Amino acid sequence: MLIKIESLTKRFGTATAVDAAEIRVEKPAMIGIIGRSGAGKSTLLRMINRLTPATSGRILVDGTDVLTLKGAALRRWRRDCAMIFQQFNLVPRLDVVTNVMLGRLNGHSALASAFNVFSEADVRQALAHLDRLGIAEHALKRAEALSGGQQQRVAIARALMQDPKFVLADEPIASLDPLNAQVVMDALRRIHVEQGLSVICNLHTLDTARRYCDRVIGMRAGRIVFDGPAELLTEAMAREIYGAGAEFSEATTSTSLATPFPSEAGRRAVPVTG
Amino acid sequence: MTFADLESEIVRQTRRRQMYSGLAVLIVAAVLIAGFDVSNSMNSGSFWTGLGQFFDYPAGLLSEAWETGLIGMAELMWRFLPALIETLNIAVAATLLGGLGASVLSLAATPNLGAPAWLRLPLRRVLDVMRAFPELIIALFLIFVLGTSPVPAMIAVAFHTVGALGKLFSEVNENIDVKPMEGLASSGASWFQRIRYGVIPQVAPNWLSYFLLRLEINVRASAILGFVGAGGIGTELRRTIGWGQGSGDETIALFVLLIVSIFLIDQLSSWGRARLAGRQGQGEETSAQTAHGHENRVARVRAMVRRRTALTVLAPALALGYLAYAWVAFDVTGLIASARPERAAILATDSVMYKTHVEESLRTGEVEVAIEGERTATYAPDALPDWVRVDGETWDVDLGDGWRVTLDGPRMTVEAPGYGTIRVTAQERELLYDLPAGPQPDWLRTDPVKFDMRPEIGKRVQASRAKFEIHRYHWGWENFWFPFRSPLWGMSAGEVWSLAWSPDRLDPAMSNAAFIFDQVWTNPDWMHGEVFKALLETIMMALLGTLVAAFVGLPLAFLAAANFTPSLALRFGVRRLFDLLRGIDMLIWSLIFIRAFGLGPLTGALAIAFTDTGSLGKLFSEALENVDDKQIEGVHSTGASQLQRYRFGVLPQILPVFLSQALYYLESNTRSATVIGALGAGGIGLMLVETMRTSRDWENTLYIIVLTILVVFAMDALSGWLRRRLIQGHEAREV
Ligand SMILES: Nc1ncnc2c1ncn2[C@@H]1O[C@H](COP(=O)(O)OP(=O)(O)OP(=O)(O)O)[C@@H](O)[C@H]1O
Ligand SMILES: [Mg+2]
Repeated sequence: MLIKIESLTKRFGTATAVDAAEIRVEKPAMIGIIGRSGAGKSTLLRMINRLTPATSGRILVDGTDVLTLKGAALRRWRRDCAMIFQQFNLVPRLDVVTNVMLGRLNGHSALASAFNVFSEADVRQALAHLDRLGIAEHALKRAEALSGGQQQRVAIARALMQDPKFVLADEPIASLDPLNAQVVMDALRRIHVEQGLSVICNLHTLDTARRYCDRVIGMRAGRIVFDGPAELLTEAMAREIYGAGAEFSEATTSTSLATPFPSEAGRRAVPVTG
Repeated sequence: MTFADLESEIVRQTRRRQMYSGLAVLIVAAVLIAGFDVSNSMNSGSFWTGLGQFFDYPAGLLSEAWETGLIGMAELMWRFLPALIETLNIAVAATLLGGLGASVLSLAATPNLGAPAWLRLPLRRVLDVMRAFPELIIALFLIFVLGTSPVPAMIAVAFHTVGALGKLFSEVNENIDVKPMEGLASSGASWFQRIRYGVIPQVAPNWLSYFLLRLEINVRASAILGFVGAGGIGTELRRTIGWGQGSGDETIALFVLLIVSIFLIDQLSSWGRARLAGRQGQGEETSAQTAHGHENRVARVRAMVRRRTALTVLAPALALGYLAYAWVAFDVTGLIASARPERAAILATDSVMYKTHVEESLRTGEVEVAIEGERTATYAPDALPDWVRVDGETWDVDLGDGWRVTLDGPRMTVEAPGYGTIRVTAQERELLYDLPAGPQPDWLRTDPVKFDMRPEIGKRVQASRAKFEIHRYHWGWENFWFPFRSPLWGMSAGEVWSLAWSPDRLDPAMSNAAFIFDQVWTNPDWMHGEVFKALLETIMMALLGTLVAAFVGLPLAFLAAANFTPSLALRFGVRRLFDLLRGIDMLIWSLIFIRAFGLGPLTGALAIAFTDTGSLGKLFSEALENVDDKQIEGVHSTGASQLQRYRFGVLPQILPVFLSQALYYLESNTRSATVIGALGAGGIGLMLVETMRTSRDWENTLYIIVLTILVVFAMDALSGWLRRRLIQGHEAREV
């Protein structure tokens, strides 16, 4: 799937949150977006999923501008680009497996959704996703009874339930401890490697981006200031992105465990365009 | 600021706080004493004599019940069971319908759920109005149009329920977490699906709990509305009480049925609410289940999905089935067939218009022009309205829009634009007609003995062999300020104004201003003075009743709270007292007090005070059991006495609950006071029932309705405003 983002802009009043962003994704990749707080990372992802309306620009996906979609077509698009949130955004009082099956609502009629109807295929698929993420034994517990890392895995299972074309993740590990953060990031990486989906992931920390992503996009004050393979992200560049002085060191943005990332053949640089 | 400044500022603030506390206590005391005094003097029976007779009525009833014996009483109760079921049906159907309306409206009225502002803001107002609107008025109006049936009470209670539950539901909705909705939106769920799965699971427990609480309240409301003619146990009660002596056993049987069912519903609803609150910690897998593996898990999840589907299908199906049963039980089909919607139309026109009659008596040949045909409002022959002209024996009446009627002895001529000239001649045996050619229009009736035409709402001409009668309608309320015979009648506002300041007295006994006021106040058609006295009585009932309930309930609440009263027996006793006061219900208290104290605000106030001492006492004791002990300990550690500990350790904690609940009850008691009034305690409720029963001048009814609604809304707004001010400013400014 070819994604072409062209001069995408968002203004809140006079403040420009995202300033003429240009991104091109030609083949499946794991992309990390980094930048300091307020750089516009969340706004960018939310505009892609259409949770936040864009001020101007285009997002071309296989030739159609998804910013013009309405009604059923818009909902279909949202299902295609599954979103994962920092705060998980599960329904706390519903059990885990139903939360996962809610990823399928887009294909359901109003009547079926009114009466809690889910097919056997839905159940099997939801449990399979939970199983793969290692939390199937919690299937019948309420979502609110799970730990943060477990909840985020439920959210990932829900995203997978949508059969998405690619996955957007807005700081998926920002509320998790290092161990859980690693489990979640590994899961996202696996989705990319095993299912060949693009994963676009907002990250606070540079080292996580380096560790998991093929391609890194750096944002500063709404502008994209870096776009390239993780290897090319020099310390000077990182300073530029984080707008820090000479005292900047990667350790200050690090939250991850010291365990080394398992080397992976699928990891490669992606050509940068735009 | 220097230290000395700061010190004096603190002293000043402390003084001011003391002054506020003192002032508040004084105001409450003054209202209580003055209120009691005024109510006592307004009441037809005095408090002190009534007190002596208080037990006479219940004692009389009980002794009759005693004579009937246990078996006889059981038989009586069996006989009244259908009436009880009807009351319960009214309550359940109204709560179901009201709950349904409230769910839908509250979802659309809450800002965070994505409804557009143009829909949300008007809806909020609609909910406010529905909540504050007195049920009594709706019930009486519908009884008038539909006839005696349980349906009017059901609709009235349901209407109020939509407003009351809608407000509570909206508050629940406002406090939910919207992140799940966003999560669902991001996966392509529609608005309906987002509400269904993102909102409903979050709000359902609180909604259900409020729903159960409302069911309990509605059983009481349905019983009480029955008393004004809406069927069920209330109607039976009115009958047995109306018969007086000899039917005391029946009255007691009805009392017992009502008290027992209210008690049962009360228990059921608190049991249900406790269960809803304490449900969690499920879905844990046993290690055996985990070992059984994937297929077993699929089976369990599928069973869960099926169970839940069944439940979500079954619950609405049961509700629908019940409503269908209620439709049959209330005979709604028959009711619709026998409804008299024209009565609503008459009521509507009559309440905003008045008519002036021009009547010719064919025996004497005399013609009279009178407002509403009343003898006291007949125009003098030399001061006729300008649309009536006399020329010798011929009367020319202009009905407007080119319609005119000429009366000339036994002959009447009607000019009908678009039709032609109608001539009617009255003879000894019949009426003779000379009509224009062509088909006769349907607004015209020409029988040999009766002529009747009403081409539009504001014009009517009738004829019989005895008289000709012409009605011309005018917008407005006739003689609203001054009676027809008053010298002030027909004057413009400017004339009245200048007259008020003129030294030439119309009545030598009083100044002109006083005279004008007197003319308005004693206006016999509108009885402004009486109406205002009745309104005052209703307000007094609510105010006095609530105040007494709050200030008696509070100390008793300490005795019912486990952390303040170690004695189990005492606690148990006080709690049962609360249950008894609440359970006997306002309806029964009112009936007993009306017997003992007669008509008046004191009676209503006592009924409210008794019931709500139970309700408020229970609420306060629950609040007291939840106070934070650390604060009391803190005060204790400074060596404070018991009283000081309560004053500084406990009072600040429960004050917000106390104030907000007391004000909330004041608000709802204003509505209750109109209903209690209608039962016979007096005030505006009774006046309303009586004007409706005589139902001649609907404009009077409308006037009273409008005033009642205004008073209820004003009390509602006042209590809401006070609640916001007192509770918000609570941190900064303690009483
Ligand atoms: N709803 C909104 N209304 C007004 N301004 C907003 C809104 N949402 C975001 N902004 C502003 O847009 C800018 C970008 O915000 P955004 O949330 O995209 O940053 P971010 O890079 O995701 O930051 P963080 O790392 O803290 O999540 C910020 O200056 C923020 O204040
Ligand atoms: Mg963000």
